[in-house]
Amino acid sequence: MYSTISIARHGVVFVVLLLLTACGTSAKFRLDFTVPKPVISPLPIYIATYFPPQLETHIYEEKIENLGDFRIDMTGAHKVLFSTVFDSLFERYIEVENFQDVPSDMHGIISPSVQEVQITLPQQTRSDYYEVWIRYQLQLWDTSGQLIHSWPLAAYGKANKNNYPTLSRASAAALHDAAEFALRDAAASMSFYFAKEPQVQSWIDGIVESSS
Amino acid sequence: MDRWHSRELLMMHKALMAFTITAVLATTGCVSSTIQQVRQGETGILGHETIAILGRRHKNRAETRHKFVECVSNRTSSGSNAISVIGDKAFLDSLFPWFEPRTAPLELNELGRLVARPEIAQRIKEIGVRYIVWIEGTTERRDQSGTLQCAVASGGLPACFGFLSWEGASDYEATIWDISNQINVGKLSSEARGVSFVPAVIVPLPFIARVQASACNTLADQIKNFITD
Repeated sequence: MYSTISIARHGVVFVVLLLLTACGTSAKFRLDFTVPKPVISPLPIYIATYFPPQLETHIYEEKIENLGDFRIDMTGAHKVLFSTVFDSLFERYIEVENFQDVPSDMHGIISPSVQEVQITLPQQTRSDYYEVWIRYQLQLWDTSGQLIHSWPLAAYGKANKNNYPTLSRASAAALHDAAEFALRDAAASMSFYFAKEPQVQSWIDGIVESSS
Repeated sequence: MDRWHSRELLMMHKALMAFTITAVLATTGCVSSTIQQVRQGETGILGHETIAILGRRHKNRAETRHKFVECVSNRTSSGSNAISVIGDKAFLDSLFPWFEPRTAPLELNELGRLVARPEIAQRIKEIGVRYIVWIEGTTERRDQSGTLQCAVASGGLPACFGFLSWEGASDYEATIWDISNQINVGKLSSEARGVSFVPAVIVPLPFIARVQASACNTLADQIKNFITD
């Protein structure tokens, strides 16, 4: 039969083990992402979009020394982001499986790809923030196959560690939110600045002029 | 017999309640609060109108904590003089992407340009938002001193010895924009200071000054009074 001291001793060991497990920073999760439909006026162009496989099934993986293993499964998240934004940004928008499928009434084809994903943890930056950076590359062609413009799109999201309970899976929850904020940032940036790229702007002006 | 048992249970329950209340009071440090306000315009709100309480998130560091904004929203939308508040996320989603960290208006003239867009004006009308309350500020721990050490003593039981103290400081400011008239109607501020300490002789006994909760309560009450006055 266990004595009170023995039970207390086992209790202490259990609590210490529990705390050690809870304080680990490793994080592995799938990013289920939805973005609201942007409240914007559509541009007067018809666009087909090709999503390369690497964008549709993108997974970020990194082993950070002394801090653990990190894996963010972003399958589907980038596609949701771009398809939602493009649906509001263009007067007409379709998705194609390959470049040969583009209907003749489209004005152009756009293809986004993920160039890089980076994360930083509060332990690395001595700050309160979990941070996520995503860099996309966007390419726009006309229907004759001529490249109009290729440009990078940078997005950033952060989440304050103090908003999450200390003794839970805080790093996964905070990184999830930071990644979600980064994707929202990409959507905001795309909605705002797509037509402000000089090459894109003059291409759109040309389409509007020829159709009027 | 049953009546005697239920009486005993009731007394035990009362004793437990009294102990809990005493423990909570004993372990709460003192907090002093200061509030200030500057009124720049008339206010008032109709029954169908609502306010949006948002945290400023454009700074690289020291953004307003989401928990604090949530606390102010909850307190403003409850109790006496309660005002209808649209949640931070619901507002941002309704007007996406115009109030994201990269795109949110920082100055009143930017709000004017934003509201001039028909699709934005229509959406604001749909959700019935009359005022935007921007909250900026932080809670910091300063002047920490002392040490506290815990170890597992012989017999396997933990014991702590020492004394730890720090000052908690919450400084928050709320700027209120009237969307209908596109004016800044005023600025409110709430400061809370309190010293927390943890003496420990075997068992640590924390006396925590809840400065952030105090700042939240005073700021929310101020917002309610300011808008409904």
